Amino acid sequence: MNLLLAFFFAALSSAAFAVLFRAPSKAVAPIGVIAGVGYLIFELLKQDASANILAFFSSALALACLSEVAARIFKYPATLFLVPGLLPIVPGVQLYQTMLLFVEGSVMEAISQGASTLLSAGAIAMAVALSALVMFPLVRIGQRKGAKQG
Amino acid sequence: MPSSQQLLSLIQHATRIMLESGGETYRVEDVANRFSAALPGAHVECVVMPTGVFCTLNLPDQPPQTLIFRVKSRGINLEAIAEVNQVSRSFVKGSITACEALCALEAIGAKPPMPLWASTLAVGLASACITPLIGGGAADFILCLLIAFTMHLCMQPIRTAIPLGFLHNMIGGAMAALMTLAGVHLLHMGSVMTIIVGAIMPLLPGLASINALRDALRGDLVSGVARGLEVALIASCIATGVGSMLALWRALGGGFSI
Repeated sequence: MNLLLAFFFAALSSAAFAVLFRAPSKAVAPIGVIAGVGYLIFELLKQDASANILAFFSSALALACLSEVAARIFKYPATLFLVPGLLPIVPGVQLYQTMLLFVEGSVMEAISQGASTLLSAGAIAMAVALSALVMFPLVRIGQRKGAKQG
Repeated sequence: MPSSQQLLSLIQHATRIMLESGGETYRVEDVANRFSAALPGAHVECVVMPTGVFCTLNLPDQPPQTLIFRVKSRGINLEAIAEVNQVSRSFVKGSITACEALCALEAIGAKPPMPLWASTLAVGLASACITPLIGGGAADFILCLLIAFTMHLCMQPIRTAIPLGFLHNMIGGAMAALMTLAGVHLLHMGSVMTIIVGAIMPLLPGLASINALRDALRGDLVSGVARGLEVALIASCIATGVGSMLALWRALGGGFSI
């Protein structure tokens, strides 16, 4: 799909979720941009079918790091940027297919599809958890530099 | 300097708003601890769970005072979390007094919910914009928009009229599936999968699943497990709702393409 369109729809969807989750109006546009960038990374990486988990992981990690940066610029908690931003990459299609396979009675395939869905969701969750690990040293270095200059 | 009564009531207001708005456990405990820094010598022990708060205020030469309250509703209000955070920071810095902080917290808690038209519009756009991302066309977009509008408008009165807890998600999923099947069948356009996935997107427990993992990894095991259960329950309720309608449709002889 056209990357520009993908960016646009991901950004619009996340911005709408941000409004729904009552994010401050000042933060809605940045949330859209962050979500768009995160989704572009996902879209580019998932072209290769074998790298699906990697696509979920890297795009979620990028989203989490961007949210941390935005949190420092706009002085809001990072979760505020992250939660709406993550929604376009939630593995909704896989979840649906798992359920459909269960309904059809093909239990073995459903379990295998379910495991792959869980792995994708787990990759997103792990990336979010690991972002603290990535960001923490960076923030410390930034603070030290700031302290020296200031 | 605030009295211990004032301090406890500040903590109660702040933690309640944060928990009801979907704040992480550590953030809620942080806020309680931050408030206690305003009284010299005060020490707060705070245990926060998704369903309630236990908090004891220890002051030198005074018996400890304990606050316990139950939290029943769990929604998402990102602005309230950010605002309570801000109030607690400026209170500790000393730029506002205890009374002003209490008034500010009460104002945050008393904010009216979003108008129905605004939330309906947001739900519709959020759902419909997912469909092009998973390969949908213009027909999917428009159908999903209409279905999300209808779903939200129908769910709102049901939510307030009948306290069903997690079962609302089952009704939501069933409604989404039924309307999609009917719409696609009658209009002969759009794809069932794309529209259903888009329409159930607002029901999915995004914030709860992130909070569950964050809490668990930080060592707030009780909150982590409780929120994990919440995620699992919501997801299975949605799947049951959608799945039952698909199965029913199939049993009644209606076919659909994936």
